[in-house]
Amino acid sequence: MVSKHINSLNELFQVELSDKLEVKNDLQALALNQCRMHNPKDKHSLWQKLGLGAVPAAALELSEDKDMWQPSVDMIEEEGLNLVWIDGVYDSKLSQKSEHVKIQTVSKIDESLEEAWLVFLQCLPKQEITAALPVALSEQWSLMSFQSNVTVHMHHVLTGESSLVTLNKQLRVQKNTTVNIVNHIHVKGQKEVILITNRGLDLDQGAKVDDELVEKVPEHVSMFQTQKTVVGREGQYNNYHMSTGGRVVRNYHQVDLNGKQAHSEFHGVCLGANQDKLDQTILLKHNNENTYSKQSYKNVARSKALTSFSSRVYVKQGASNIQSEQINHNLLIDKGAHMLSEPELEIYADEVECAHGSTVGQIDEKSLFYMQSRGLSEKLAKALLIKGFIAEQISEFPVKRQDRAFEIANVYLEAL
Amino acid sequence: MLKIKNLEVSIKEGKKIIQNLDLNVKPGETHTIMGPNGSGKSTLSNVIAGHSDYIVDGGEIEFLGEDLLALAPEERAIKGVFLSFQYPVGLPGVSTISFLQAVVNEQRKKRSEPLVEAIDLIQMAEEACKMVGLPKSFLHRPLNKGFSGGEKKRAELIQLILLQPKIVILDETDSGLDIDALRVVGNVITEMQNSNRGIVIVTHYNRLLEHVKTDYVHVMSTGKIVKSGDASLAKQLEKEGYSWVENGK
Repeated sequence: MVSKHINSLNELFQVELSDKLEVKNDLQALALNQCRMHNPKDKHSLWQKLGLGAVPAAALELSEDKDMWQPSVDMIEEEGLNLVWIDGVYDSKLSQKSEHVKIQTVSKIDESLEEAWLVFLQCLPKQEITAALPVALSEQWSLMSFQSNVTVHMHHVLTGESSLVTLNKQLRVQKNTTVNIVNHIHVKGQKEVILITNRGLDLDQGAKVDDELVEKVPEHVSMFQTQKTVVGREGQYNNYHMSTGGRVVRNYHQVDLNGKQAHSEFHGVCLGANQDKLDQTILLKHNNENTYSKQSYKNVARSKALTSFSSRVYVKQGASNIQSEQINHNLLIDKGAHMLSEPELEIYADEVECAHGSTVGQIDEKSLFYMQSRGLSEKLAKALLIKGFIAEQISEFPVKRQDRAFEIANVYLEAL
Repeated sequence: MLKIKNLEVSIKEGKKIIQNLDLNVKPGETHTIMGPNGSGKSTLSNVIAGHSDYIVDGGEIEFLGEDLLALAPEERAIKGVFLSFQYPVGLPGVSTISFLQAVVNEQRKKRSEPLVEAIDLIQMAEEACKMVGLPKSFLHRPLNKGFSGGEKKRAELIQLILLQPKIVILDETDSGLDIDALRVVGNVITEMQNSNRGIVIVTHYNRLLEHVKTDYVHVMSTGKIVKSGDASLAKQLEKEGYSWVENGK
């Protein structure tokens, strides 16, 4: 067990982790090195963009001596397979078994897995420093292979016993298999918690994944996810994401459309309030011909929140007949809020249709007066306009997730 | 019911738009305000509804014995003021039916009246659609988004029918309408006329008055009411033009 009191995430990276941990392999050595190499003063770094240095982290603990945690009845979804991780550790007793998914947890990784995670870490831009922590610190790796069509609810329980929860997952979806991944975050207690997740996802030929996270995160939780998805021939990866709450919620997602006719869509809504920092960073690589991608995000920021959409579509030389859309619309509610929007295209091929667009606006005064003249208070009118703004985006979500998305939006709007 | 006395209004840039305007609308009366472009008709409509772009420099507006100028736009609506806009705004993502549900029940809630169940409101809205000649499918489209000019005016009338206000200001509801739509607007206004409600029609033309009975016609010019009369005044204006009044004849 490693236990050391630290005051901030910044400090966490400066801790001489290697003094506390036995370096087991090249992978861990690389990860530890990346942790130490970070530069919080670099103006292009996440530290500056998201103010990560201020994220409190009460203690760094790697402990398996957890109190027994019991799931609440309403946590378990009736439809589909429920899998549970408690503070980053897969719980086979609470999780359901199924012939659709082969699950393996390992504490020592073999050479092939080590190689895969080395590639994972090395492909990331140097500022993506959070990915190194789970690789350096986690004592368990979850490997999943999806062999037939299934809906999987992945429950991540943060008990508050650990202030830093790290997790590495490697998922493989076999040929022509359709998987619906519904991610849930359950937070117990009021202690500051940081959840850092790495996820590698490989889609074989014709595989399809709908990956959904529609959750409100408590203010005392920070979440960082680094994901690399590789899509094979005729594969399809769709991401539906609604983010609200959380001290810092950051997703870095790289998608490699490697197979011909591979397809990927991102549909997201970020609702920032208080001092939330919500950041979606996407690198979408068209590495083969006849591939399609779409990213559509609508963000709303009020109070002193920061929302950020930063995305780059890359088209490899020789990858012809590419279609890509990249859209980010933002609604700024209060003067103290900030929004960043960076849609970028990097194209090295001909026969490419790529569109990108970004808007930032405020509540339309004419619309506000119109609604007030019908008897709605300013607050109610604003709420209706914001709901209208995001409704179109939510309608792109799978039907089963739309009610939850509107429920979360209503809570956000009630606090206007 | 609506008493406007010595009203003076300017815009933020300082330009005076309305000067010493008096108007008294009693329950059951229909008044028509006519006048050339820029005479201050729409400004008057917006000031009654409470638009913050206009500065009231003097005078008073009393509605049912209460100082209307002291109320926020939404409070005026709850008291029973309804403005049908000359250019209704589109509300992207806000379906017409959800907007109707919100405004009808918010007004009722504030007046401590029983709320309307969703199913009943849909029925009421569908009946209103029929009255104004809009397909029911419009209820499920975002309000005024992608609507033609005529459709927007009809959507205003649907709100009017459902809200049943005490005083109605129709700001050029007839502009840009074809003859069939004009007849529909006329029929709805006639339907709304009763002994408890006051109606103010703002228009450029006499043609709407061929479908609606008006008690008074006022002519506005350079921010003032310069002439008042009965419905025959509108016919004369159409024949002679506004210069007839402006030249002091």
